[in-house]
Amino acid sequence: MKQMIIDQKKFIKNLIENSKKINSKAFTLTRCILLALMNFNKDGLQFRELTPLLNISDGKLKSNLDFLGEVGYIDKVQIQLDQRKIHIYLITEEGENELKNIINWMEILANLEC
Amino acid sequence: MSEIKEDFKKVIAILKHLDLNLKNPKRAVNFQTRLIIQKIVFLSKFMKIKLDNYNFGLYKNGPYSPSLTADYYQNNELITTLEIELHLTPIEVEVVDKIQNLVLKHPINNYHQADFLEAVSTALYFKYYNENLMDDELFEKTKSEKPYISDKIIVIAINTVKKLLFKPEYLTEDIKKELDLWNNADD
Repeated sequence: MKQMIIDQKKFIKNLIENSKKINSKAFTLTRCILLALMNFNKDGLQFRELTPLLNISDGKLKSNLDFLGEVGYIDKVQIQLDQRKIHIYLITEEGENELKNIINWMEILANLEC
Repeated sequence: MSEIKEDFKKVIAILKHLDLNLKNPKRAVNFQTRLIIQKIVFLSKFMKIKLDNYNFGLYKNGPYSPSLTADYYQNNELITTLEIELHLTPIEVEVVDKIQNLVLKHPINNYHQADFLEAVSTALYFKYYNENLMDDELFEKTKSEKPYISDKIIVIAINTVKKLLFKPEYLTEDIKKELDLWNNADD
């Protein structure tokens, strides 16, 4: 019984303390997906690829990408693809660290029995 | 520098055989180089060149292998020099030549290389896992996956995929006779 109480206290402490490591503004579904996609595809992703993938409007996608760029989690780089000049988006080291914090916190949450 | 994996040596040998002028893939701006490597390696693997280390999944940017990305980031200078001792087998050379002649030397590749490579590799992916797909179904699936690529490029890509997957044994005596009839029709 005593051990169970200790475990519960530890769980709550972990849950609260690790949540503080997360940038709450980055912790939205769209922003988490964007970070995860760019972490998976290190080559960089084009705007035109992201729109159908996330099924959101261009405006919403742009504002989310702009936010992630402003906080330094992603880089927007102009490239030449065939004859066109376009932008690609790549995750930065800070972005990778933020994603790790989110994953760590979710792993703590996964211990919760529902 | 860690030891270069055998599969990556083969990738370098393939790129060298194709005589591609590639830039350093580690530099963010050299996106087209990364795209070319991914698609060429995918085509090579799906045309039976043994490259077990690289697993390709289909995502919106076409077939993509994260382990291949890791390898060319780690050995990025090798991509620019293409210096390797390994030689391709005659069967591998045949496959790479087919990719060279049907894809890289296609006139559309001169102006729309990125879209064409994406369309060919995506259509090949679908056809590989469902060879009974009819042309119109393959078009729909490829278009749905790549809505931003023009219909013209997708149609050319599908025809290219059919040529890539064509085997001499498909050419039966009956088909040969029919082809001869058509070929002699002008005479």
